[in-house]
Amino acid sequence: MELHRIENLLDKYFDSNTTIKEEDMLKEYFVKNDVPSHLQDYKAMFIYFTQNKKEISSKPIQVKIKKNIWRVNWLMTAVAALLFFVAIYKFLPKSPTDVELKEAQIAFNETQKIFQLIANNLNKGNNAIAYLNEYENTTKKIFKK
Amino acid sequence: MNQSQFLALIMPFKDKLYRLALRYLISKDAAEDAIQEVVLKLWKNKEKLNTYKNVEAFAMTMTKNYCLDILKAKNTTNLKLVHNNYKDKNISLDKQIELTDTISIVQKLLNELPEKQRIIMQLRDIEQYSFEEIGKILEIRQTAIRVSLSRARKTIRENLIKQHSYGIT
Repeated sequence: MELHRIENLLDKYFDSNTTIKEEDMLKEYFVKNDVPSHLQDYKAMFIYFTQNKKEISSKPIQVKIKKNIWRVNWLMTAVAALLFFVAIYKFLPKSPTDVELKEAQIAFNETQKIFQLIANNLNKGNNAIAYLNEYENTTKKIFKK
Repeated sequence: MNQSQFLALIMPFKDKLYRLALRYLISKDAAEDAIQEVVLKLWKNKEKLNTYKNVEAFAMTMTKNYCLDILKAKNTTNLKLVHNNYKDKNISLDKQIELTDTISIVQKLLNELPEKQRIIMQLRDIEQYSFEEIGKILEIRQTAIRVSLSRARKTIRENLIKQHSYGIT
């Protein structure tokens, strides 16, 4: 490529009137060729442009991993909540029905009757114990003397 | 759209997003975090992706907006100090390389350009987008792009010549 054309292109380039194709030609020229001294300064510029394209991020992009943790967590929360409700349903006592209440009342009355009977009989025994006390009193008298 | 389909869609221009973010944020770590965020956002909206005509331009616009948000947040908080610290370190590092590598000067000059010019130059001279696409990505008019680009190219040229004639390199 003649120098004349390159200089023309450079003028156009600095006025932002070059097409991408023309800019590619400039880049190619400055990267590959030995450049006359008055154009030496542009060489660094165009080499930088081509080199910079190789500048890439070293860190891999993560997308799924973060997302996955979320999805598992969501599922686990759902399962935990379900288990919780099932447990409440199974193990909490139900409120008693009317029939059950009546049965409980009858049972209560029966037991009270039985307790009453026992109490009466115990009182009978008390009389006998009173007699025992008398016996003790006499023994004390004897031993004191 | 499953993961592999999504990645197949993203991969071809993933590094372009990275370089754009890098041009905005200067720091490599910040740029990597930024594209990670952008890709995650895209993944969350993956069902809508097919309705966009140009996913690449859309992703580039998203990256641009995301980086601008980060820069804005940095400006409003004291984080700007940290950013400046980082830049200083970078320049001194650049100065070391400068002696051996003239090409890194171009990098330094590019990073010193005003943000808009820097980004336009990145999109045109490195990624080789058409003016129409750049207009779409940056949401500005094509004539404005041409003006900024011309200014950016001339600034780089002048600074290169200046450095050369002062014998800094």
